[in-house]
Amino acid sequence: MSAGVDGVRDLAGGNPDPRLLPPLRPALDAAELRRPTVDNVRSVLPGLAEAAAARFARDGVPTDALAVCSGALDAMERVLLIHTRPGDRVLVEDPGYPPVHYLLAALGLRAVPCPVDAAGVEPAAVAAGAGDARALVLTPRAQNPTGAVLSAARAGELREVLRDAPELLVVEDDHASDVAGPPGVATLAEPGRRWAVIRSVSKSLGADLRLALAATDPATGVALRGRQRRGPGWVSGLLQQAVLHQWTAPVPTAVLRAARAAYAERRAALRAALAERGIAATGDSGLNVWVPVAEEDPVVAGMRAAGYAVSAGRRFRLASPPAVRITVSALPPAEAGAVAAALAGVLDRVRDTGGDRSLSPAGERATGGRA
Amino acid sequence: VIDETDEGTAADVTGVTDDGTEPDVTGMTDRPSPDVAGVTGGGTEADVAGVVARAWGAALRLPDLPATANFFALGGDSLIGVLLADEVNQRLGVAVDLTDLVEAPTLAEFTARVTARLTPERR
Repeated sequence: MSAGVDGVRDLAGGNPDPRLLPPLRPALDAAELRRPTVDNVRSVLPGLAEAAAARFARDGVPTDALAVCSGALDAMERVLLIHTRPGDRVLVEDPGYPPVHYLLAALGLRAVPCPVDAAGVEPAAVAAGAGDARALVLTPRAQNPTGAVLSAARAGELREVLRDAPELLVVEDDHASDVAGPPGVATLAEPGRRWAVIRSVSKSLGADLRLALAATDPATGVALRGRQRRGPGWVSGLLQQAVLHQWTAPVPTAVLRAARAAYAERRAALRAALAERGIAATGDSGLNVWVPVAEEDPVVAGMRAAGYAVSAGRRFRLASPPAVRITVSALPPAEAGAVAAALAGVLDRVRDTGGDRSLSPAGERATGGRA
Repeated sequence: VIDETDEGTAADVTGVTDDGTEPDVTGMTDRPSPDVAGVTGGGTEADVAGVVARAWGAALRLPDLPATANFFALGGDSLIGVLLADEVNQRLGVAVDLTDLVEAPTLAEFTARVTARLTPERR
């Protein structure tokens, strides 16, 4: 990745490295106008349904009901519209993905922040809020912004907690699935519950494909496809064929393997370089590393002056403490040391000058609108 | 080339939004400050509501928003939200941020929140 026009390297965007997206032209050349409908209900191209079912089943996700939606947030909105009403409370990760927070706000739903650690959303917060909530939205891997992975042990604890809330809808936003890092993923989906596991291809094949697979409980699946049919009808068969090609043809599957490996290497390189300098960070999966800081603005400004654009954590946070997000998707491992050195210098300077500013994390929260 | 952030807004390093508009998405930066009585004391809640409503209208480019208008349902995102909060803070001397918009996403809720943040003598 080249530096920006003003010489600032963009480590803020959160997007995949464009060079690690499989080439699209062969996938489009192979597609033809073909409505993915074999009867009055199905909206999934049969071949894609089989491929997706195999992938979900590998991770223990039931595959009785599959749908293709126009991206993860489209699937999430449809599922929430089926099971919630304005004013309902929804448990969300904090920090979490801003468009999820915005979607809830747009639907008139109340986000209830639940802290996230390296093993996923914290069970105590879920237990405290589950009784009054209609839904829980979580990210099982490549959690944005923290890079957390839902551990099998944590998934077990959460399942235990949710036994007391059998009506609670669980939505899993597995947005980076193919390139997130861990080969498998834990799930809270189980028979008898309302649930949806959503897998977008945005991070692996390109956001402009606007396509996500959703596995759901059977009743949710019927409602989802029914409403989809009344609206857009289905997701274009051209796009479904393109995704199926990218999942099955030799070149794109090799690119996907390489992308997963490259992101893992880039994450590990930056985290090792940060650890060498005593800087704590999370990021076991996905495209980002999350670095807690005392104050966001001076760190973002200092890094920019050092030639790196990093993302202030503010827009990801509801009640959680300050941090900055560093996108590693296009950061060569050889440059990780320079980024860590720059950050160490900035943190030192902020620490030296921050003593008499009395800008605590709480204080920063209060003035957070100033960018 | 416009780099987009992962939430679909243009990265602020480019200074260009993804709908090709100029960076000043609020359209308010070169307008003179309105004479807001609330800023200098003695203002009423109606003044505050007017300032907030005008800031929302300018940010979302939709005049005459109803009290039920929902910032995110009307396409607001973090970039617009940060600028909107900045504008309200400057005009009214409060300290609201994007999180306040998420927690109080309708014009009525946000106005109530801003009003509650005003110091008593400004209310």
